Amino acid sequence: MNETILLTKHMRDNPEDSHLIESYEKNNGYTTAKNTLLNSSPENILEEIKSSNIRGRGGAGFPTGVKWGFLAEDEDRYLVINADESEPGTFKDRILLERDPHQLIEGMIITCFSANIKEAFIYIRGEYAKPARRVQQAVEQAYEKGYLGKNIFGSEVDLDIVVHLGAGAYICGEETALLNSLEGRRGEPRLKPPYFPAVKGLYMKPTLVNNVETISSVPWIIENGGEEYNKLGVEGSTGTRIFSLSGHVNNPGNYEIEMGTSFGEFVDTLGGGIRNNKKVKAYIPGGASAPWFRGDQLDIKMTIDDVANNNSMLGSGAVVMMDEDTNLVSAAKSIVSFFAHESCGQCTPCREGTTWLEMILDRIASGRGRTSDINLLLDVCDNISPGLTWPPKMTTICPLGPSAVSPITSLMNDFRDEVESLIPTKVLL
Amino acid sequence: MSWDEKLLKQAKKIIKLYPQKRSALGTLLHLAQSKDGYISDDSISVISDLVGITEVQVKSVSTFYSMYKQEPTGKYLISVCKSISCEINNSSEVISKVQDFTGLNNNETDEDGLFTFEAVECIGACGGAPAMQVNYETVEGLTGDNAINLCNWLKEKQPDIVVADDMQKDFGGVKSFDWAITDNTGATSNAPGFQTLKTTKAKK
Repeated sequence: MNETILLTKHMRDNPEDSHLIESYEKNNGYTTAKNTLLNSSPENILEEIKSSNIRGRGGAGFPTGVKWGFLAEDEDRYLVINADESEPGTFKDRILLERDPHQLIEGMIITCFSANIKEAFIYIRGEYAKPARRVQQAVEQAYEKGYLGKNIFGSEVDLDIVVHLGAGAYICGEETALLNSLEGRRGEPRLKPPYFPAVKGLYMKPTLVNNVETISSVPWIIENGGEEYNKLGVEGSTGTRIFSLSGHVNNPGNYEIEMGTSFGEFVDTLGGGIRNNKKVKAYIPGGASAPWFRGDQLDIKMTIDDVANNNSMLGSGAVVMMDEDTNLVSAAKSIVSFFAHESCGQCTPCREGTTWLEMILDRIASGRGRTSDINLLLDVCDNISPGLTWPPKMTTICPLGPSAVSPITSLMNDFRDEVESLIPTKVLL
Repeated sequence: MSWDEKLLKQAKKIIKLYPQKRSALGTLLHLAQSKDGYISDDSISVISDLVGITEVQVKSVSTFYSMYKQEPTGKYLISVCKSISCEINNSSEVISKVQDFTGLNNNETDEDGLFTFEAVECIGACGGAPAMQVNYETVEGLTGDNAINLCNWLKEKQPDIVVADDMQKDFGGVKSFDWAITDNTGATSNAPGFQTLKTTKAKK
């Protein structure tokens, strides 16, 4: 299989200076935004986004056109770009921020024109200092050219962009936690309702919160038309998507592909296969929150719906391959530790449960497990997410707690022998 | 108030970026981190005055986020990733070698104030696992030995600006993706190197 290059075209064509405005403009950058502001209407843009059928690239896969359509009327409305990319396995927004920041800014200009927004923020995780510097430099260049600020491209449109750094909290990728963080508060997800930031978001004003990759796709969609975008990929998963491939593969990296091929084909071709010709024992199809698939499930198609129908999620597009030698209990422990560390602490099932899961898995992984630990693990999981179903039932404000349950249910459903083999059997003296 | 005029001026400039003062809090805490290497009580008091909220409110925010350090942090903050892609690519070896070299446990700082070590969650370098950051500048494709060489280099050269390209060239390996763009900017403190904070400089 081959890649389909839309979002990563400019950075590939101009690898050395794709981050600079001169280079971006030389390749027709900002012409789509300019044409939009001078010749189009907000309604037209919304129609193109709707007809493209693009779904959000942050993880939840919510239809972008529908989200924009929700945006309530108000004098003050905001756009917030969620660049808090922290889902383990994911590094696709990083490349878009580092190597093509102007594409994101152009997408933001078009988005804000469509939604009549005058103030926008890019919330970048604090650990992404280099990507944030590139974006800040790009924003400054855009201001100098008059592409941001007052009367952009000589139109009546005004837009200001502020680049904001997070400070090391995965939970701020949850949109209401992100908004709290941007308001200068602890990054704790908000109680719902209100359900949608598009109705009550930043400062309780209507706010669009969109992922970097989603908004970086906007210039292409508007330049070529929603219908053209809709032709790529498959129904329900249109367009291209950047998958971050990591783990035990020969060629880890970001690959922009149309959704619809199988994970196996993806890994064997673009990924160069598994290192040392090993077999896949298990793999994660969409970031650490996603339940795992077994090595004999590589024929599942990489679409939002196919993965969901197999009881997992395509999530943030992070594919992690684990070969036959992987200690899956240690792998699960790593993921559970992650969620235990990142739990914001508001909800007891998550705060206490993730810590218990970490402790029990640590005990099993280090050979000190008890036979009762398996039922205890499942019991704690059941307290976080009753019934251990997919999609998970929730006892918590946000999905972080149930995400910690995913690797354990995967272990117990498919690799229970491996867990049990680590628990010492009774020694009779 | 013990922030000097220059820093206060910068703080006020940051506050002006936002529609509401309190939104500047996170950025001001980064500024405080860059000033002292941690969030001092003094900074909390200054920020509380600047933003118009209580000291307890500032403290409650500063203790929520892992990048705001509550105790003095070394000149070089070494953050080794231990999340899933790094974990299955032997990050534990990098962690134990760095710990051996520095003699530090998790979240400890040495007596000279040179190194602080922490094992951290995903830093978005999964394709270049195992990876680490020095003052939030990323190095990918490490081995245990190269991590030691990197720490040794930091100890001997003690660069004032930590530049990712330099570290990657001498001590890194497989990258998450082609970095492509030559970059000689980096971090000047153990807060993230970022223009708004004036914590980044280009190396001459």
